[in-house]
Amino acid sequence: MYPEVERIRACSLDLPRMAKLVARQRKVLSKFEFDVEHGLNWMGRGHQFFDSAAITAAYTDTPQLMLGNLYAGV
Amino acid sequence: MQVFERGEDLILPNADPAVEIVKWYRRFLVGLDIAQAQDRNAYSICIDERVPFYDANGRQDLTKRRREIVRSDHLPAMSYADLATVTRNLMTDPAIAGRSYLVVDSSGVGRAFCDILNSKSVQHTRVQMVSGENESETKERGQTFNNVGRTRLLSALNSAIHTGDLSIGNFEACDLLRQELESFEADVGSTGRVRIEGGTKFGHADLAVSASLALWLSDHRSIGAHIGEAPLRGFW
Repeated sequence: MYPEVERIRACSLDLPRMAKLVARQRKVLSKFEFDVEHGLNWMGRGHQFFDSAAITAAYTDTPQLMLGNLYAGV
Repeated sequence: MQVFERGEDLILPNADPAVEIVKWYRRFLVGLDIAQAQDRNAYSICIDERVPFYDANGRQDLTKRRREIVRSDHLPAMSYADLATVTRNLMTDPAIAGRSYLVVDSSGVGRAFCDILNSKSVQHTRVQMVSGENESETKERGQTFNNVGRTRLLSALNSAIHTGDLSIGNFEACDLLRQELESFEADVGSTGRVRIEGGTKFGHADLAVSASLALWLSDHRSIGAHIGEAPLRGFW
């Protein structure tokens, strides 16, 4: 489309020397953050920050902590 | 097998002198996001524990660290003086008293609210949510303020949920918390900084922010979370 423009793609996912860092960050970053940080994705409105699948996986059946009357004296 | 609780310490007693008693903890971190002009009061309680048990060789060992939001809720609109009373009631509730730590959003009017907490002898850690991703500490009138980037707080919450370090229990407002978490979007502002905004028609993401405060406190030195020795790395 623009023959005078040379496109250069530099992505850490393609670099063997970054593989260790990428593997570690794949574990600790959410999919959205990882894709922005390493996958050359854009960040902007409309992109959900917390991944719904991760939120669903985080839910457990632990019952609610029962508290007494918090409003005594109010 | 009976685990005894002494304050936040968990002890598995054994009369055999050859058995080394390991002492670990169960503590409750309470994050409080106070209402200002538009948002609502909200709190979250995160349990943080490592429980001792006997391994196959009869030695006491520790379970994996467990952090879980066991309660999160809004509090109705009220004066800050009344809110301080409610906060004191919360921290002295028998379910968590003596093993709980409070972190309060002390941005803006929050610093005055924290002074009211002091007058009611409610021990707490002050956090001012600032822009950016950094964390620093300042002193003002003899009080320590932890200035923590909002992006840092929410990114840590995101990572903890992603890695399974933080789970979310089955409490009344758990669906509301899910809606708030799903409402967050990251954007890049005109200054080039990442900005994370969220909110539902029920709240200004107050539950999620209070949960992120509780999670932050679980790793903070003000509750002794970093006691121990480790070789320095990365220095030469």
